[in-house]
Amino acid sequence: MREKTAKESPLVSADLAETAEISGIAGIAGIGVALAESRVDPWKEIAPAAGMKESLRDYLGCYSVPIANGQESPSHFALTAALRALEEAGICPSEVDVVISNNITSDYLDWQMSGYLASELGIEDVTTFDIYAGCNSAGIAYQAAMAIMKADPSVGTILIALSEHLGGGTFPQFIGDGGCAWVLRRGHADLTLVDFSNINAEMPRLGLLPEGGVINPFTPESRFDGEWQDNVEFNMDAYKQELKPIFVPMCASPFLEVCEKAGIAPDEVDRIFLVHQQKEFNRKLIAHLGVDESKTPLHYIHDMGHISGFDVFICLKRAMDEGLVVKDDLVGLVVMGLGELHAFLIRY
Amino acid sequence: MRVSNLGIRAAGRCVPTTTRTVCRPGTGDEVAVSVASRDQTPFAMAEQATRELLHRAGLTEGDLERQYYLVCNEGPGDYLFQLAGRMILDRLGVGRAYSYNFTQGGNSPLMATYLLACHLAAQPEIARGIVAAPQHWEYHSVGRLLGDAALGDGAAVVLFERGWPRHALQSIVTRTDGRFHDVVYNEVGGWRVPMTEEPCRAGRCVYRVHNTAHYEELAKSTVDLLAPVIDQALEEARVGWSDVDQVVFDAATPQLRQDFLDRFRIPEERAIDSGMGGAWMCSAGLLLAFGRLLERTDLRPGSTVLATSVGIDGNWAAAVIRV
Repeated sequence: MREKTAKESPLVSADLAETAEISGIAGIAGIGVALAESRVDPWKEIAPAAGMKESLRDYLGCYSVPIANGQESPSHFALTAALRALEEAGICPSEVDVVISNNITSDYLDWQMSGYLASELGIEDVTTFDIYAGCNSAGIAYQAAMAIMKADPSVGTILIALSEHLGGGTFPQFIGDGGCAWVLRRGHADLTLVDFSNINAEMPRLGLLPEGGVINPFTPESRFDGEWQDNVEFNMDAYKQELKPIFVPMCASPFLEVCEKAGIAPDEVDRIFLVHQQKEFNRKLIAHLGVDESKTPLHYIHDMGHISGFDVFICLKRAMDEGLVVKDDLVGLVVMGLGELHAFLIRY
Repeated sequence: MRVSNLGIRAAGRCVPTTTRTVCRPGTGDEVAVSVASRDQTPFAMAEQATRELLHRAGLTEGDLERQYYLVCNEGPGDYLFQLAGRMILDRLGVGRAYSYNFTQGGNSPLMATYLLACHLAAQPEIARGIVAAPQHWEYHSVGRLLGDAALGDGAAVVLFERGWPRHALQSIVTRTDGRFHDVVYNEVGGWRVPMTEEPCRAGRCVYRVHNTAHYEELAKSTVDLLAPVIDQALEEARVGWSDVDQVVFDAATPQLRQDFLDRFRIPEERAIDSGMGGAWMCSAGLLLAFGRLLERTDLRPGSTVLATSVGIDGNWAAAVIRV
């Protein structure tokens, strides 16, 4: 088993004076997926209660979603996915230097799921932290992990293990439950980052949970029907007037930007994976990008729906298993969530 | 991690002047903590602190465009489930930026600094970044207590800039013991206790100590567990304890503060803390201490400063700074 680099060479450097080059430093050595075991037909189990019209069936393009049972917690999905990713990578947990997780829909609010994973996996000499974000956590975690790889040569292996537990939701797609983990390994030659783009800017305010924060805290008289997701006030007018007209070009912008940075035309990618929104929306997005539709497996939406921003890594793993992504392919990943957009170009 | 070419350019703070006395359960001693007014929401305080920082640095809001703004996110926001960094940037009128929020227990300013140093090393086009920590505990704690710590309100921000020659970072080291992941968290709002009416009306939507045994174990051992992290930070900066001229630090409780000073034999005159007395501001505490460090005009250029904080969440970090 490999000893940690830090012990071999404690004097390492993040020299901000040097010209940085993030590409090729580390590759993804393993991807693990853990979806809920139970599946439901959303048009029978979810759509009627949500008042969704059957006419949207083909527009959404989802006919089966994984929904957690009472025992499948967010940390269960993250831990299972982490174990599978480590196994695929052939890496002993003790070799992991950094664990990154997410905690906006975790077992508890503001707890350290990353620390829980490190403890369960028996990783003792480690740094862990949790991204507080929604679907965008996948993009943030990957971007942060690559920055750590660039700057800190003592870090040889980073485990990103994320989960999402909003199953039964219907926006922007039928939502399922699950987790996804990937292992970044310094010097690994497969699935290396070529470049990335991250767009975080002012956006129309669409959703607000009126109660529970500092401005309007919970009191013994608070009225709160259902869970917090049921109480978010969604500004449909702002969505229709301010966001919908620009949503396709907005979602396309990070990928177009990263292609420009990398000096390639969008259609030069061999495969592209998008966070699962409505199937027909993703079709429009692909067309707007100028990428041939055959380069993205839109049909993956059929039996998955939307889990989180890590949809793209689940799809990447599935495509590799099915032989749709092969060695030397240039792969695009487009992640969007909570108003933030990420795009990554990676080389298998 | 050894760091070069990154310095602390400025700091800003917004600490309410109104105080309230909190009685600490373990010792019974009374502590004055800062209490925000109705208008001093977390994001409003962070905005004000950032504006103060920009003024001190001679920068404008436009100078934060496409720069980093990282938020230590243990405290509640104006509303729940908002992305604090983006909300604060919107208030400042900053457009596109790199911003995210993360948690690492309740004491993560050096983790944020580590991440910021990494991002700037990876993106040479980025000149600067801010680490922010807004804190507001009136409604999301149990009587403004977190274990034995008495919690105050406020916000603190620190600006790190590429190539800034003063207060230059030399090294940062971070470490986690995952066994202690369950010491502090908010039990309501996740999968195990969904955010429904009953627990919210019952006052359970609060950030508090849950695993008391782990908390007590940490309270006894955290200063000792910090020692190897400090040693590594000093080693990577290529200095020793004898080279340290000043220690900038933050501790969750007066007892941990004293344990820290005693353990490492640091005299009071060489220690710079948050200046909040016995009150604790979680991640904002060390950032406030950084602000006090920058105000110290008596420190000679080139002197060595050790920065660290002593929390109660199973995470440790230390940094070395050259004035």
